[in-house]
Parts: sequence; C-alpha cells; structure tokens
Amino acid sequence: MVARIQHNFPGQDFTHMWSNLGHFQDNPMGMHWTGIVFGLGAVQAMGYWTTDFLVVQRVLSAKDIRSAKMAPIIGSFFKMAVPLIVILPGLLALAVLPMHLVPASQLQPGQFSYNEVLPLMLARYCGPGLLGLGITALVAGFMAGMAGNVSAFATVWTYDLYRPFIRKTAPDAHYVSMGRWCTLIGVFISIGTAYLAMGFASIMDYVQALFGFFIAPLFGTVLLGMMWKRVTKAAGFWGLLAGTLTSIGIFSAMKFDHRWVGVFALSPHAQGLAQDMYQSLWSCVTCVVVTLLVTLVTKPRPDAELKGLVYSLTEVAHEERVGILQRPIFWGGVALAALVVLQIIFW
Amino acid sequence: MSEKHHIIPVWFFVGVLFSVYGVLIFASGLAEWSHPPNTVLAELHAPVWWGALLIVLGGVYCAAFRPRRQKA
Repeated sequence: MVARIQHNFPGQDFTHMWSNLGHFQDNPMGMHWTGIVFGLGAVQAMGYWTTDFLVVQRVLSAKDIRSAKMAPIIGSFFKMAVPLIVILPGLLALAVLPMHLVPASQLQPGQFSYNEVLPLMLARYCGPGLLGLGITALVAGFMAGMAGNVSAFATVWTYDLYRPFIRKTAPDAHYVSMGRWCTLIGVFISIGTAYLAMGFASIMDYVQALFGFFIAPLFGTVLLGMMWKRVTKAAGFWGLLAGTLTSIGIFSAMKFDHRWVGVFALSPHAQGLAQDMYQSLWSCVTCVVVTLLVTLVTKPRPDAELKGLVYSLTEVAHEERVGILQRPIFWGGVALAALVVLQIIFW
Repeated sequence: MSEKHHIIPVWFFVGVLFSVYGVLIFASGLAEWSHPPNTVLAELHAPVWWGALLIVLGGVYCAAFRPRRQKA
C-alpha cells in the first residue's frame, strides 16, 4: 500500500506522523510539530477530553468514582482505533482509486473530494447486497454521532439554561416537551450546518475550526477555574470572551487575507488544519492571559463559597479497593503504553 | 395475580437485525454467483462470506440474549 501511495503521489508522505513535521512543506497537511504538540495535543485534545459535553455527560452520570475515571480511559481505546476507520480507508483509496482526489473547496466537475472516499470505495468493491450494508453502516454512524450531539444540545438548553434562568418552576411535562422541541430544532440546525461545512477543505478542517472557537478558550477557563481558587467570575467571563473573539478574529483574518497565515500559523505554507491548530493555541493563550490579568484586579471570593467548585477546596471521593485489573490506573497505563507503541510504529 | 414486566434485551434485536441482513446478503451473493456485479474483486464473492458471518453473529446474539421466562 505504502509503495503504491508513493507511486501515485510522488514526493508526498502520507504514512508517517512525526518524521515529516520538521517543516510545513514536508507533509501533505502543511503542518509543523509545534502545531501538533501545542495546538492539537495541549489545547484541542485536552480541551476535548475535559470540556466536551458528550464526554463530560458520560463521566458525570457514572455510578461511582472508579466508573467515572474508567469512562474516558475506555473512550481513549476507541479513540486510538478511530484512525483504522477514518484514516486507513483514505490511505487505501490513495493507493487503489484510479481518480485523483482533491479538497472539497477545489472541486471541479468530474472530480471527487477526500470526503467521498468511503462511498467511492463502497461503489468500487461492493455489489448491490454489500453496498446496502455499507450505506446502512455509514448512515448509522452519522445518526449515532448526531443523536448524541442533539441530545446534548437539548439537555444543555433545557436543564442548564431554560430551567435555571427562564422558567424556574414548571411541571415536569413542560420540561420534557421543551426537550423534545429542542431535539427537533437541533436536527434542523444540524442540517443547516452541513451547508456551512461545504465551504471547508474537509469535514475534519471544519470540526477543528469549531473546536478552536469554543473548546480551546473554554479549556483555559475550566483549567484555571478548577485549579486556582483566586480566579474570579469576571475573570472567567472576560477570559472566555477574549479567547473566543481572538479565535474568530484569527480565523477570519486568515480566510480573508492569506498574509495573516504566515503571522498566526508561523508559515505561509500552513494549510487548513495547521491554521486550526494555531488558532486554537492563540485563543487558549489569550484566554489564560486575560483571565490572569482580570483576576489580579478583581476581588477573590471567600473559600467557603468555592467548596465543591475548586479542586483544592473539594473533598475528592476515594475509590473502593478492587483488583488490579479493575483499577483505572492500570488501564490508564495500558492506554499510555499503546499510545507510545503507536507513535513508534507510525513515527 | 401480580403482573411482571419483562424487558427484552436490546442485543436480542441486534441479533435479529444481523440475522436478517445476513440472510439477505447471503442470498444476494448466491444469486449473483454465476454473473457477479461489475465491481473490483467480484470473483471473491464477498457477499456470500459477509452474509454467512452476519448470520453466525446474529445467531450467537439471538441465542445469548433471547427473552427468557423469569422464575417466580
């Protein structure tokens, strides 16, 4: 497969993760290792695992502290397997498909984009029966992802916004009805955002840009707010606002004038995904700096009001004593070892 | 007389779904055996193997999670 990819795309390295990240021009993503380590690793990935509602919702609903710790660890194994589903078919397509794939934004009549890899591969290898199964699996995957996000949207709106701030006392039937309407509206919003995604080079580019807007600055706010009891409400608000506006500003500047790519993404050769990584990094840094500065000029809350909110003032529940195979630390170690082995294999 | 509610495990329905898909795909593979579709590697008859695999998996799920009568 590797030999065929190199034959089809001479001079481009699609099969290594780190060895070609020394310069922006050396890899097809137009990426530098600083973007991966600081933008993706330190901000986007950590932000996803600590602030994404889908992850947090599952951890909060765990039956005990051990289950809560195990939830993201079990998730990490599935996350490490995602490249088998997402990246491997793409690599196989580069090796076997006769047509030359292009980014969706550069699509010309008669050409196919990277986003169409799975349908193209299904049409190439599957006859009528298997094609139906493949399409069913794709649709089921889309539906599962959308159902999780739409239910999270309905929960956040109904429980975290509508109930505490808009209508505090209403019968349960009213909130159930509100949740159902939210689900319906969420589906229509999802369909609308699909048209937004069409303007990006790939769906991954679109998702990472959104992560840069919302998750990257939120990570800075959550981290400081949980770990430092001195942080104030105003500092959290202004830090988050500054981080989000910075992210949107950087994104817009790089889209409208390519000269800004060299400034914010450190090189004019940085492509879409690389731009997203640096956009996340700068937005998180801005959020942290603004939060720190505002904290220093605002009055801290007394400790009594922060119990249960800040790590140092919260009594952390202890795990019950279980065998080594049931301990989160063991499976966390296994996940870490698997991660290191994968990095070495695909260096 | 007390009335008990029995919950049929969702995995039983997964097994039924796998089995139905398996039978359909297996049958389509047999039907096109002598004149395979115009796809790459059609001579390997993938629908027959996938259909058989789905039937086996579906059978295992159906057997393992079949609704059982609860003892009083």
